[in-house]
Amino acid sequence: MTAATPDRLERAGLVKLALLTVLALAAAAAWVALGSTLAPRRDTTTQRTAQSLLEKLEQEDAGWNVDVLSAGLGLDTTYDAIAGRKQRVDAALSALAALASQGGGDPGMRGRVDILRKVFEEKADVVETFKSHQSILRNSLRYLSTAGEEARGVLDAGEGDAKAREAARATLDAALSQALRYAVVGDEDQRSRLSAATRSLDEAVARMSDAAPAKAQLLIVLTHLQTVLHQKPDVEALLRAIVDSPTRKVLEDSRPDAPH
Amino acid sequence: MGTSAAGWLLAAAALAPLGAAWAAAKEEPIKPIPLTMQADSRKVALGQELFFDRRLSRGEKMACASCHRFESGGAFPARFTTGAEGKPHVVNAPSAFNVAFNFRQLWAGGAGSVEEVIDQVVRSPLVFSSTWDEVIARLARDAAFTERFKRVYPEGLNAATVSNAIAEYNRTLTTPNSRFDRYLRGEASAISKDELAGYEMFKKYGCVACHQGVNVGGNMFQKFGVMGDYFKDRGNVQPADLGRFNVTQRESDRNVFKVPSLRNVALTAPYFHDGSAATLQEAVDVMFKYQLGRPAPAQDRQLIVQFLGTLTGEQPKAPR
Repeated sequence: MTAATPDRLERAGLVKLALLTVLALAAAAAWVALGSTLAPRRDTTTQRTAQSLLEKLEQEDAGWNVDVLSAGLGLDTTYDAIAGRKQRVDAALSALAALASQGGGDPGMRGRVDILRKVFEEKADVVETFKSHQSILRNSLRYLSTAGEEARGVLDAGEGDAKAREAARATLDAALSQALRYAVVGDEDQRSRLSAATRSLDEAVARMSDAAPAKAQLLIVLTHLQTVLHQKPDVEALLRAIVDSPTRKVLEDSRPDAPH
Repeated sequence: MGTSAAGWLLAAAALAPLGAAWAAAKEEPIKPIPLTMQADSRKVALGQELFFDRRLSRGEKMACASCHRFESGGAFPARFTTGAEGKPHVVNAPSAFNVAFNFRQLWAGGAGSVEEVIDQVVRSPLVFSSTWDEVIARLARDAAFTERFKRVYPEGLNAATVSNAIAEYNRTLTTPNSRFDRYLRGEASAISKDELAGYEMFKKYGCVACHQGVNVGGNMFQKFGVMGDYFKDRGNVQPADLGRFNVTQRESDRNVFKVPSLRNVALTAPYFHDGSAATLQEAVDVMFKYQLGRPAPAQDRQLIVQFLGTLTGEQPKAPR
């Protein structure tokens, strides 16, 4: 047996103290850890749901752009996909708004959802304007070949100066061809070519007497050529505005883990 | 083995035209109405009762079905309906069929959902001229109905649940299997040669730029009078003629309307928001003049009208 010396007693006391300190620290750490796990559990769940809704919105937003571009390129000849996508975006936004109204320990969430709603509403307005303008453009492009055929038919069957009729027909064909090219290559050079071809046709029509049988048909063609000239740049600008819409950026900023 | 291979080749050759027709149909800008719709049958049953229930209107004078007649393709066979207080409406009643395929509801897209339409109809002085408090009080007096309703909607009768029940029913009112849909699904003989020629005209003149998709419209807005001033020519301009402007107050939305669906259009005269065209022929003439900028050749117009007749589908049956 070893006798307990004051030194050994002091050392044992120090060890106990150290053990107690470690235990106390461990308990405090456990309390803090437990507290941080339990107390914001509701917040974490809300954040996870919000995160998942934001991811859904990101997917729908990207899909929306694809739908619009598909319509813009004529790959999709209906607007059903675009309309369906908008309904899914609205549903996800409503779910987010409902989540934000519950609070969930994130006081900034409501404000961020309001901003999201605003940018998506603005995008939806541009998409609607795009559909309206593009359908007018599509209508004119579809109809131009029919109108051209009708005008050619009247010119071919017409009476009077054969040379003048032949010249009018050549001007008409050139304008129709430039319109189709402009539909595919919508740059400024091609726009200038179509503009010039339309002017030539306009001048040819102006030289015709009001009684000329082809005049009415050619005036219809001119109206639709002008429509293509006006609508094409509008449609392209709207397409750019849609794909450049800040929805993606605002979605990224809205993530719960983004610095706010 | 050789015989079998030859048999397969023959079968493939025989089916090739069908495959080609199917592939072509898939590319068409008009799509067939789905043959089935998902819905909660218990809510639909309640909604059906409410659709025909006059207690939704002041004085219990009218129901949804009073203006949305099943024998008229879900529309009303006159220019304007008359509300519970005897006031005429300011726009023609749109069809209540196939609303599930519209991207927004009403002529100017003033309602985002069928539920919103019902809310507006209940409160509008030109239609039911009621309030939700009155409606719920009238329905709540019917203990049996209230009990049945609560079994489906545990929260009971309120504006949201009643609107939802009617909307659930309304969304099931679709008209599948029109002859044109059968043609799109590959049944080439479902439409006549003239009707097919009419469809070609419909595409050739560009009508299909707006009237496309499952509902042959109903998925976009367009200005009424792209190529001419319809309202100036018609005269007697009314606030309702402003269309979507009344919803958004945006100048660019002046005279803009939702492109109406052409499903069952042969049954839904008169046409347009103002009910001004009594016949399909007249309606096609107006479209040619103001949306295309030219008169309709008589023969082409006739063919287009014949094609439009093929869009009449199987009509929902009103309960007896």
